[in-house]
Amino acid sequence: MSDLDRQIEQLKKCEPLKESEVKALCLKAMEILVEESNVQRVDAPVTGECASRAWHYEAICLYVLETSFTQRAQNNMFWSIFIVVEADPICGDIHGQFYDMKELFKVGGDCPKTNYLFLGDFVDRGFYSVETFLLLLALKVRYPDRITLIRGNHESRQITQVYGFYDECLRKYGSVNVWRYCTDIFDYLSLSALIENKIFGVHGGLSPNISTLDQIRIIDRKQEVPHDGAMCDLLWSDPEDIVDGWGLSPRGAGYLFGGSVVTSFNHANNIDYICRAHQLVMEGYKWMFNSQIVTVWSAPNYCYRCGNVAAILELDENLNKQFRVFEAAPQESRGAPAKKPAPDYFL
Amino acid sequence: MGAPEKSQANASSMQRVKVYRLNDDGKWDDQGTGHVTVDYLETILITQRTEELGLFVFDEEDHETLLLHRISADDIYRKQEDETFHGANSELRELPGVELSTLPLILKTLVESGLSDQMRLTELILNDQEFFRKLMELFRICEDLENIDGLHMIYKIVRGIILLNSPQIFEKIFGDEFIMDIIGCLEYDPEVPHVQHHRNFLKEHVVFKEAIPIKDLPVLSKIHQTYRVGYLKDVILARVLDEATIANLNSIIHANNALVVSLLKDDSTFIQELFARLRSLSTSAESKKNLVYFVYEFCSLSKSLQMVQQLRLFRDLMNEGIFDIMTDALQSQDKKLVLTGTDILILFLNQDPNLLRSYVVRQEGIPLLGLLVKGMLTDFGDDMHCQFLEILRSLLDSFTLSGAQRDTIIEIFYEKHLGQLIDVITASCPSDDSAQSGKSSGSGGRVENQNVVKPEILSNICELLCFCVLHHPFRIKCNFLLNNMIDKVLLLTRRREKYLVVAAVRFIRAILSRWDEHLINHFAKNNLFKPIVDAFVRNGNRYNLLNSAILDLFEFIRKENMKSLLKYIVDSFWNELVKFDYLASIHSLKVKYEQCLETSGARSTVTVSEPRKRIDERALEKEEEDYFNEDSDEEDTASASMSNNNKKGQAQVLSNGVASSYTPSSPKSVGLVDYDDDEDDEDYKPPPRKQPENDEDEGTIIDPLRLKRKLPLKDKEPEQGKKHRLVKNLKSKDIVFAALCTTLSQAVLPGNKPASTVHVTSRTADGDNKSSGEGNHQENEHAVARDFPDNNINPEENHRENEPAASRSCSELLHTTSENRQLGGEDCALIPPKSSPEMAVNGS
Repeated sequence: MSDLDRQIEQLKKCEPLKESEVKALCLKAMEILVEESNVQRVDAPVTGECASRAWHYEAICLYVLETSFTQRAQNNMFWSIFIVVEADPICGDIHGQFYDMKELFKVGGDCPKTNYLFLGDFVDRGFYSVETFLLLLALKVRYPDRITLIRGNHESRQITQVYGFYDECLRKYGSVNVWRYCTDIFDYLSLSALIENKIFGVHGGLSPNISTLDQIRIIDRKQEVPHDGAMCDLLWSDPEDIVDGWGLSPRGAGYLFGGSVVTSFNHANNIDYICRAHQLVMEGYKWMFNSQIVTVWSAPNYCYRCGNVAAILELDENLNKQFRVFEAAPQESRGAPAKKPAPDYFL
Repeated sequence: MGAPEKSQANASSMQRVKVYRLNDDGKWDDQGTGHVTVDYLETILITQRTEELGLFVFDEEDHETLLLHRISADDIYRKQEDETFHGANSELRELPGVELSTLPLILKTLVESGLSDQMRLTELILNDQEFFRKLMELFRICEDLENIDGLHMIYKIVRGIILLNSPQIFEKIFGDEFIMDIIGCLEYDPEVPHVQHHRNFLKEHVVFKEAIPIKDLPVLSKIHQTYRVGYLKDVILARVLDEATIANLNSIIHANNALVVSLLKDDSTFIQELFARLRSLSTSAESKKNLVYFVYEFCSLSKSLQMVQQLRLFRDLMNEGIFDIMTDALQSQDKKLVLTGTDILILFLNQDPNLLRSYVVRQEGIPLLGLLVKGMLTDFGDDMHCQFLEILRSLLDSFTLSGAQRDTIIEIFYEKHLGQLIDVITASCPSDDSAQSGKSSGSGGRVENQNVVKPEILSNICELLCFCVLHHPFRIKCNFLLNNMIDKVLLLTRRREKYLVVAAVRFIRAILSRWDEHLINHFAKNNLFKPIVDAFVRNGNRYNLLNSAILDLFEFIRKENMKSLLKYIVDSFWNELVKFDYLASIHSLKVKYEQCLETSGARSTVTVSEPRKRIDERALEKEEEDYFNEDSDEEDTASASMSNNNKKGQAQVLSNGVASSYTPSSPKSVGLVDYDDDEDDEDYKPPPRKQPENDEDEGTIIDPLRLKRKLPLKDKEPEQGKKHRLVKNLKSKDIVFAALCTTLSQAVLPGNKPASTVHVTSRTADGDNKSSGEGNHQENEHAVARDFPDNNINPEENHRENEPAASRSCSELLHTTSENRQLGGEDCALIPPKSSPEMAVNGS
């Protein structure tokens, strides 16, 4: 088992990594992320072609057929089942709710077997931003093509200093070095994703400065999320029913945009719809503007008190949609694992 | 029968209760849990035709009658003595005596009582002086007898008591008398297969280190208590505690820390002894190390003090000479000790940055700055060492600082250390044949010629340099121009690590954002874009961060209308860039270039340059004002402090003098504020949201404005689009193919033909958009309309026709706006527009 695999196992138990491990992980992640584009291309699942997916279906076959693996392999039934299950999820905000993210993986399937697209906001607000982000990052380094992470408005130095990630790093590591490394990585995260040229994934929404996807290309994204401009808007904007065209956002960054804006953007870029996150929706997902844009929210019982359900959007090879709604992890499965106690103390 | 059904139906509205019955042995037997109701007895017992009321408890699961009690006005309370009845509203009167036999009842009371009962229970436990003593006695007996059931029961009771979350109970059980036994009880978690050895760990393995013996016993006891409570919270009960309990335990720890730090800091003999030992030559290295670790814990726990007290403590520590001691620590071979030293410095900076700053400017403080720079350049292996960069940034920050202190630090830094940083870059980048590699910067710091500098160190250097560009524009300008530092930083573009190449590009972007014509002309003059264009070309058609960063740089130059750079870049590199013409930004760079030639050719030089000059002059006044209001401190004092110094200092003053009367010609700068701040992120100032927020109508106003500003840009879009759109239609997989086609056609058909073929496709693409697009409709229409005349004359030809006139007038234009002819665009203007890059190099 490689170090990285061991670290992934450890993180899956919600145990944070050592500082030195975080450092090594971040440096590796940087090399991978720097090669990604501002509009990261994501393919729909490719049915039956990928050997490493086999075990995922194997697990599902067991459930459906209750026959042995060899039998099925002989009968060729193994392959016939693939089509049913193959779907890759798009996930919305996580916000450090580690145990709820584990629920998400239970619903959507394990990472290397299923391809994931996360639309940002991994950190802040929940209790386990460190573990949540590091697990996602470790998966990214281990399986770069199987998981896509794009940046949310909370992947920012300023915001994390207010909403918890900074304090959590300080509390868990005794210094803010880990925060520094992680926020440096945030600067490298891609800004959006394009699935099979048909679905545009972004954390917040559209920008008056961006009418075509090509205009996103010329953003030098390696910077703190600016206070205005295209990059800021992509991460901060919200669709709004009552707005015609563009409106001011009550958030103080980004814009509100109406249906006509979405229509012309989708048309100009020849995409079917926009998939975004950024706003809490009690039902986990919400379509707007005649199915031209959908909000996906993946933090159940947000802030441990909002009482909402969460959802992920699964897409199969033909881009057929299925929303999988899930609830917060049961209380028993929560709770931090024991920390390693400091071996000595002066005070 | 009606009743059970009825009770079932009403179950939710009825009280949920537990029923116990006293058995013959004097113990309470659990009868089960159910719902209580009051009803006529006859409904149950049909045979008895009475009108009496009865109290019923039906089991919550099987609806069996758990309890039937006839209510009579006289004896109901007396009768209750026979049957203990716990309802949510019932009074909990007393605690059962603590015996092995009553443990189950205690546990049930604890675990199953409602909120109001819990408070009552807490009271009872606190009132019973003997409760914990007896419970702990019982625990020791059970442990002796290895009575596992009893121990499990006691575990649950103790856990339940902790979860009552009562500060008074905590005070009792975390006292010296009970805490170890309490921890002992918690070793017997029935859900954990193996018995835990917490007490053993605390007694045998944890080391309480005493850097200086603490004689005050209450302080000692608090110190131990703090550790143990923390251990209980983080280790023993980590998975059990709820938020509220954790918060209460944290406040115990917080209060303890405050008390301990406060008592120790007021103990003058203690502090004196601490510093005496830290200074003493006879103190062993090992115990000095421990003393520094102690200081770190001491300082970091002082966060629990009130702000004022904390500040006073840090001042006191500084007066005792803590920074001297940190200077020593930073020279240690022991990396952990060095990092602890920096952690202490960060604590001081967080408290009040001026403490460290005021030290560093003093004679004895100068070595510390050097050690910090050295630390930043040192390989700490697996350890993180972001602290060094952080401290240096804080010391060099010119936004939050004012006055002589800042300037002295900055001066020392530039004098002694900037060269050191640059040397590390030159030493660790492959130095090709190229003209750029050069003489050493000739500055003081000596750096071991290690070619194996870790890339993250180079990245930190680059980050610090970007920071300097923003904070010390004049200082950096002088240094960069004199020592060819930009060339050296650009060596990073040769590194294999793409993020270093990106870092170098960002560095250039930071410089350009200063809009300093000296520096801008310096780029053209020294062909500094060659490494960037090379990196861009090398990166090929990959759409990655490097690609985006360089496109952004070009875009910036175009939008800001940096004519001399535009001209230099297109003149020198178009042969290489032409194969990226399918990218909108590259294409519009060329278009802008042509426009620039065109406009300066079409209109007379005079009419163009004069209003510009006037604007510049107006801008100048305002800028000068702002400049002196805002940023003057630095330069004034800097020049003052330097004037008695040396030639270098004079050069500085001179160049500053020039700079202050020498202003950027950016139209933006008319209403000058620090415009580059908007683009940059190095400073973490809170987002001052721009005006739109204030005005509600602004939203509708601002958009047309934006559009209008964008229109000239949009005009060209269909042209820019060309291949770019073609490519988009072909989809990503075909990008390579398309690019290949472009290159091929370029090779096969020299001259203008490739461009015109593309024009045809682009027009159809625009036609589509025109007919169907909604939002873009207007823009496109406008754009397409403009597209036609442009298409009639091939841009290439157009260019050539205007070339001689254009290039002349363009350069003249540059000259009139630029006040410094020596450093002006003269050289680059002499290069013929179609010249090859080699010529450009020679020309400069």
